[in-house]
Amino acid sequence: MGRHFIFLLVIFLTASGVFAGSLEVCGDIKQGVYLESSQNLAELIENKYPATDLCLMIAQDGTAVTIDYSVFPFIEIIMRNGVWTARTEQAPRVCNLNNLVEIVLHTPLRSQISPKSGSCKTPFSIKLAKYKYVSKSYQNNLLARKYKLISDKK
Amino acid sequence: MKKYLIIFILIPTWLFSLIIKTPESTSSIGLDSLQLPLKKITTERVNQGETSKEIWEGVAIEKIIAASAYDEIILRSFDGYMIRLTKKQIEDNHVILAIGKDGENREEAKWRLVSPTLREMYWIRGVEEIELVKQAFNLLPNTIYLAENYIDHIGIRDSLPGNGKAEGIYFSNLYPDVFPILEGEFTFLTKDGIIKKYNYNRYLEKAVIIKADSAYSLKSPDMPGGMWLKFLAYIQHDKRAIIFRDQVESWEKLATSLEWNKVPKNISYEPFGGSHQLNKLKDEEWDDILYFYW
Repeated sequence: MGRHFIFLLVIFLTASGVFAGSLEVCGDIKQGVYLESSQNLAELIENKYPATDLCLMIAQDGTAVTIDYSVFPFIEIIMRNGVWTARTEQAPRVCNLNNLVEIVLHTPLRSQISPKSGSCKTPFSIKLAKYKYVSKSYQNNLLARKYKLISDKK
Repeated sequence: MKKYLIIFILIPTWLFSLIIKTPESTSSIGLDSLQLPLKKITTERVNQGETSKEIWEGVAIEKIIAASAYDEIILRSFDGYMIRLTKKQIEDNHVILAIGKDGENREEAKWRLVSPTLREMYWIRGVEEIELVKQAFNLLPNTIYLAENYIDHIGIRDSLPGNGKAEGIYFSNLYPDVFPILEGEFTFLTKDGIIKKYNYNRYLEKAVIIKADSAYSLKSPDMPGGMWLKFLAYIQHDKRAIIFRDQVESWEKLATSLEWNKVPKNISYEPFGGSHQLNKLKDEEWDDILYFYW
């Protein structure tokens, strides 16, 4: 009984420790991860998910931004005092997001899972469907699309 | 001045009204409030081997929108037809909104776009709205799918409801691989160099891509027939595109048509992985590629 309690306590402390200051990276990937320290977005993706060609960055206030892989090198994902932010100088300013809560990745050729179905959904497309398109911005030939949350169903 | 008076007496000028949309505002103007000089142009059209010459009278479109900054305009008619013209097309083709033809007022009291050098598919009737668009440039894509291979990969449909026994796919079947975002304007290029931009929500949600022989065409119940496109060569949205290789002569010609500032030299391709010089890939090597990027 005592050993069982300690085991549960360890799991609880580990989990809460990990998730409290972590940023979830998920989407069209086999297993999501939690980012624990500041990192350049391109480095994160090249190291772990090189097939990613599009990414949705979501902020706590319901703002979200999609960017393609040409923008990744210009995005710094920064963690300071337990708060995640996305920062850039070269990419469109909408990419500067405060209180980042999630990064959702899109990878190509996911539809081979159900090639004949009329509507094909992926984790990325399901997540993006919860957001409404707001505007498109260009800077230095880099493109970003801004979205707002239309539903709090998650 | 005399010319104005004649026109105003003969036709009810209030019928010739236009909605002008800019990113900042929407306004409605009438022919009488425009106070612009009328311009005559002559066109030649060939119908069943016979050439007919027509003299049109109207207002130069450049004059109507002269005070506004724009890169491209969208003209919409009362029946849902839509065309787009770039600033250069307007400047190069003596485009007018006609109100009279061969010395008489046109039967329908609506604007009609006419040009001696633009193809008739641009001669939109019943123009009701002009929208001025800024930043209409085409981005160089960074990922291109090969249409013939990709359609084969996802499986062509033997029949498409509403299209008889035609083989093809729904436009939305290009989601989410080719186009993970179905929103905003998609650019289409046909084999004969026609470029069109259609909004997804307005025109493409129910569109189909039909295969006939080895060519593909775009149809949609939400478009008047005149907006359907034959011999699709290329579709682009943001920085992603799909190319119908059989309809494209060369990468250089494609780049010229789409006003790209360069043609990528080296590409990487999938699904089997590899990289090569774009212009040096052999036909049999293209057969195994679903998409490439640089």
